Amino acid sequence: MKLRRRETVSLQLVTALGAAALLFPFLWMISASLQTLQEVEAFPPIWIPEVPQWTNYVEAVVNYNIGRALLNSAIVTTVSVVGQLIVCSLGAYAFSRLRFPGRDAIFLLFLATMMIPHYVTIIPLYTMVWSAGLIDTYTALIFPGLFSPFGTFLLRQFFNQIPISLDEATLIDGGNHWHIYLYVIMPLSRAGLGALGIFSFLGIWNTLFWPVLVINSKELFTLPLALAMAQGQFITLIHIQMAGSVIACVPVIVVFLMLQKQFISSIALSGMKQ
Amino acid sequence: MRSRQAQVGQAANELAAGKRPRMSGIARKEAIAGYIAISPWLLGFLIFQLAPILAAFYISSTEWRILSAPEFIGVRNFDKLLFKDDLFWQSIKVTVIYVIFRVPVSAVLSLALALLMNQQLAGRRLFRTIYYLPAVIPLVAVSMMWIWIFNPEYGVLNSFIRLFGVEGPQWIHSSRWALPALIIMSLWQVGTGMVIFLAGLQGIPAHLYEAATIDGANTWQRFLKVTLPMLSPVVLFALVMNVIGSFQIFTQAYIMTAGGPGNATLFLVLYIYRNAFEWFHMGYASALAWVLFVVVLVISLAMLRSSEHWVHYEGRIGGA
Repeated sequence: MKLRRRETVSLQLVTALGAAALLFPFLWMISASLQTLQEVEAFPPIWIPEVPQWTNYVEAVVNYNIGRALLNSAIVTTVSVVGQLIVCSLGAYAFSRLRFPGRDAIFLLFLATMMIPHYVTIIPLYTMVWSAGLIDTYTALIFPGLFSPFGTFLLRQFFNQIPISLDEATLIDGGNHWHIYLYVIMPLSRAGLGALGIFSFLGIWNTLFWPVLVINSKELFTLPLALAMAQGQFITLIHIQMAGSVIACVPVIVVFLMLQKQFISSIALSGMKQ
Repeated sequence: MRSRQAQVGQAANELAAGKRPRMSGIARKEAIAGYIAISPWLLGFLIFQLAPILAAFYISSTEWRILSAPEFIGVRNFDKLLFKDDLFWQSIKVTVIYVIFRVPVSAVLSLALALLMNQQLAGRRLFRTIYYLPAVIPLVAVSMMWIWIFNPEYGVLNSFIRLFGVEGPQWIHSSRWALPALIIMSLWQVGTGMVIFLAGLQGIPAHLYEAATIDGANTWQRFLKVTLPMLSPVVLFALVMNVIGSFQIFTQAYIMTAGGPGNATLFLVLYIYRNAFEWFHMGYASALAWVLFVVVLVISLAMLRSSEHWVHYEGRIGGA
């Protein structure tokens, strides 16, 4: 569709204004994170601090224990995402490619449970973790996330689109089913694996609900949990809170900017982020 | 793009048409590989999905304070929540209001953005990045940022309103404005919808627009007669997903308002959380969680049902 010049200019303007409006809260947060408490509470609001208070970031890191929280989030997210990709892709491979007695029954059972929301299962899950004595452990943070019903389903749909003749060719060439998985299915499903990886990365990195339940001690706080707890504790120290929020945003933004194309296609593919 | 339900349905059909495996030496090898490949997933499924669902079913019919053994009370939890619990109805009211306002408004906004991004504008990719950015950052950080924006005294929003000589509302500190504030804030993250719609728009074949133009259709007519019908399956999908997601709002209310003031933002999931993990009424909380499931399921099914009247599927005779 070709647009006339005047229309193009006005659309361009609308787009730019909209983008400015969306960026506004970000800039506000960054600006507040570099101000003194006095500047933060001034009216009219100050946008450029007189002297940027970089020490706010130091204070945030010290008060909120953010270094440790970053490390915890990184460990939990990495192990969960990698584990999930392995577990789900193996499961999806079995569902999509390997015939064995009971497979279809399992798959039907799986489909039947897929619509049931997380919040139904979270109470039994919590009591399970609690009675196993796993409250306050990495295991509690990581294990339930290793297995993702949605991920298995997504990958199975993906694998189903790969021609079965490639499997047959591998078998004729003397390969076995693990060769098919490693050298045919996985390399041809990079887009699907990437989509699932990004989807779980966002979900696990950002989640608050589960860590709130299973973690009590500061040493195991994930980043969202550390921020949430600090919010209650240092409620008036707005500039420090904003510094902490900026720190929490940076890793996701960096990953997002690096993998932007994959992010966009993963959302378009899975459409599942809330 | 098809909805998840449609995919599930198709998968089920594929299964029904599936063949029985024969067991030869090769088949046995394949079956063994199958069992090995499936076992980590199957273990996870049994422990973290199936068992909890069955347990949740049982727990919802008990009174269970976690430290003592659960006591079977039949449907009394459901009886209590339906007929004796004002807070339950408050949480339903708050959640439904949130969904009713948030879902359509964000759908319209993200569609508008997607249409903009689909034009040949300068810096399109940069703008797409900016629009999508708010949807990826942690909700906890988003919430903290907006607490500060909504701050009645020093917040940027009321400072802006003050420029017009009016004093802005108390936002999240007022029982009247807290829910609208959370709805406004949720609109900041329209990027997800935009990306889904944009993918849909780019899938519409150009020849349809060309044919419409030759037939003398103007921009508005092309939008109504080509874009909307062709996009309607994606719209349905995005709406259902957004409804499911919006019903489960928790983090914002937990961080920003703690359900207040005066239970004005006591969303259903927050109420489940309180019952289970603050008051340790595990049985009652499970019953609430099942209600959440049923409400979301009924609404999703109703939307899918209604879609027969407004969703256009290519290659189907009749339709819109």
